[in-house]
Amino acid sequence: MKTELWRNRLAVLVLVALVSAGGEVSQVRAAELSKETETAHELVSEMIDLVLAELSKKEVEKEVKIKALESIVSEKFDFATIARLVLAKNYKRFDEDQRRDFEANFKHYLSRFYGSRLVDYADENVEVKGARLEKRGDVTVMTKIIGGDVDGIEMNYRVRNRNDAWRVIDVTIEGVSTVSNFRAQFREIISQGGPEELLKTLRNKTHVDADAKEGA
Amino acid sequence: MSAPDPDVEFVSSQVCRRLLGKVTLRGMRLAVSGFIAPVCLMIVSGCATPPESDPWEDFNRGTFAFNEAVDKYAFEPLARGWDRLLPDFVETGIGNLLDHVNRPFVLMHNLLQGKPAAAGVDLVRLVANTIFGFGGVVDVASMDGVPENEEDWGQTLAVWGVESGPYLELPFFGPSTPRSAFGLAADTFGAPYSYFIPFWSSATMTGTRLLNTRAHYLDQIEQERRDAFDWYVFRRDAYLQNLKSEVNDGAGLESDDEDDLYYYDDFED
Repeated sequence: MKTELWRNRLAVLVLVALVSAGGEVSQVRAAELSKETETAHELVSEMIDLVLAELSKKEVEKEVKIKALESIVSEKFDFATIARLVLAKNYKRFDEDQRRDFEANFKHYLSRFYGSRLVDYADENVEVKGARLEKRGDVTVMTKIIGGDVDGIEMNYRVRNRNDAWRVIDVTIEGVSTVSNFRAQFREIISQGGPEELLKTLRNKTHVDADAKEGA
Repeated sequence: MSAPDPDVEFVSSQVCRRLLGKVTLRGMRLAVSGFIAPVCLMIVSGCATPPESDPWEDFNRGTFAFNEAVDKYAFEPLARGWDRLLPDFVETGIGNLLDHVNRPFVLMHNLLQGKPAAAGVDLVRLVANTIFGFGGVVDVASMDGVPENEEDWGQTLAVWGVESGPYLELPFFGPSTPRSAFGLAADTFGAPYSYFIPFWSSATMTGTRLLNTRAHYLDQIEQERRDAFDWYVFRRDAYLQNLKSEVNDGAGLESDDEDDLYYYDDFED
C-alpha cells in the first residue's frame, strides 16, 4: 500500500507547507536546554532505548521480556517518592510498617503494570520531542509514539533529582497522570476501609499476578 | 480552586439530587436520564463543583453498573465477533472513513474556537485523504505526519467558557460531563446531514463507530479492568484528566494542580 502512495506524499507535503506558511506552526524548541533538562532528557532517552532494545528481541519469550522490562522500570523510577505522592494526605494514616509494606508491594505492582503494558508494543518507535524545566526543579520530558496501533500517543515523563540521581516520578499518557489516577483510586479505598484495606487489595493484586505468572 | 458557597452548594445539590432521584429508575428511564441530567445542570448552574468531586457518584455508579452489564453481555461479545470477522486493516479503514466524514465538523469547531491554523490542517487532511486516500479509507495525511485534531461541541463550549459540570456517566456512551453530553447530543442531532439522511443511518454510523472503537481496545480494556483497584474511579479520573488536557490542548498543568500533585509539603508529617 505504502509503495503505491509514496508519489502522493510530495503533494501532501506541499499542501502542508502552504498551510503552515500561512498559520503559526507550533515547533518544539529544542534549543536552550539547561543542564537539568539535558540530564533528564538523557535519562529518558536511555530508558526508551533500553525498552526498545528489549522489545525488538523477537525470539525471547513474553514472560522473560516482561521481567526484563520490569527491571528497567524499577531501576529508573523513584518508588519512594511515587508511593508518597499516590498516598498524598493519607500517607499520615500509615504507620512505619504499613509504609514499608505499601512501598514494597506498590513497587512490585507498578513495575509489573508498566512491564506488561510495554511488552505488546513491537512496531512502535518513540520520538523524544523535548524537555521542559518545571518551576521547582523537576523536568518533564515529552515523547510521542510513532507507528503501530498507538501512533501519535503523547507520553510525558516527569523526572526528579533526588539524592543526586535523576529518576522518573510520573508518566502522563495523553494528559492522564498515572500518579493522579492511582491517587484517586487509593483515596476511595482508604476512605472506605483505611490503610489496611488498601494494603490487602494491593497484596491480592500482586498475588494474582504472581499466580498468573506461574500458570503461564 | 475557589470553594463554592456552602449554602448555595447545599441547596443546588438537593435540587440536583431530587431531579436526578426521579430518573434513577431502571430500564428505559436510564437511557433518558442521560439527557435530563445535563438539562438539570443548565437549570441549576450551582451544580458546578471542583472536577475532582463526584456529587452524582451514587447515580453514576448505578449507570456504570448498567453499562458494565451491557458491555459484558452484548457489546464486548459483539466487538469480539467484529474483531474476529474483520481483518485489522478493514477496521482501520472503517475508523479512518468515519473520522473522514466527521472532518468537516472538526474544521468547523476549530473555526468556532478561533483556531484558523488548526482548521487549515483539517482542510489539508480532508483534501489529502479524499484525493490520495481513496475517499478517506486510507489516512495518507497521518503517514505524512499531518497532525490529527479532534474537536467537538463539548470542546467548543469549553472554549466559550461553559463549565464542564461534575462527572456524569451516560448510559451506553460511558464517561461524560453535562457539557460533553450536551455537546454529544448537539454533534449527533445538529449535524447538517442528519436532516437529509434517515435517522437509522446516522444511528448505524454511531453504532458502528462505537463498536469499531470498542473492538480496537479489546485487550487494553480487559487489562485495565484487571489492573484497576477501582475500575469506576480509574475511568472517571482518566476521563476527567484527559478532558482537561484536551480542552487546553495539552498545555500542561496549572500551577495549583501541579503543587498539589507533585509536592508533599502539604502532607509532610
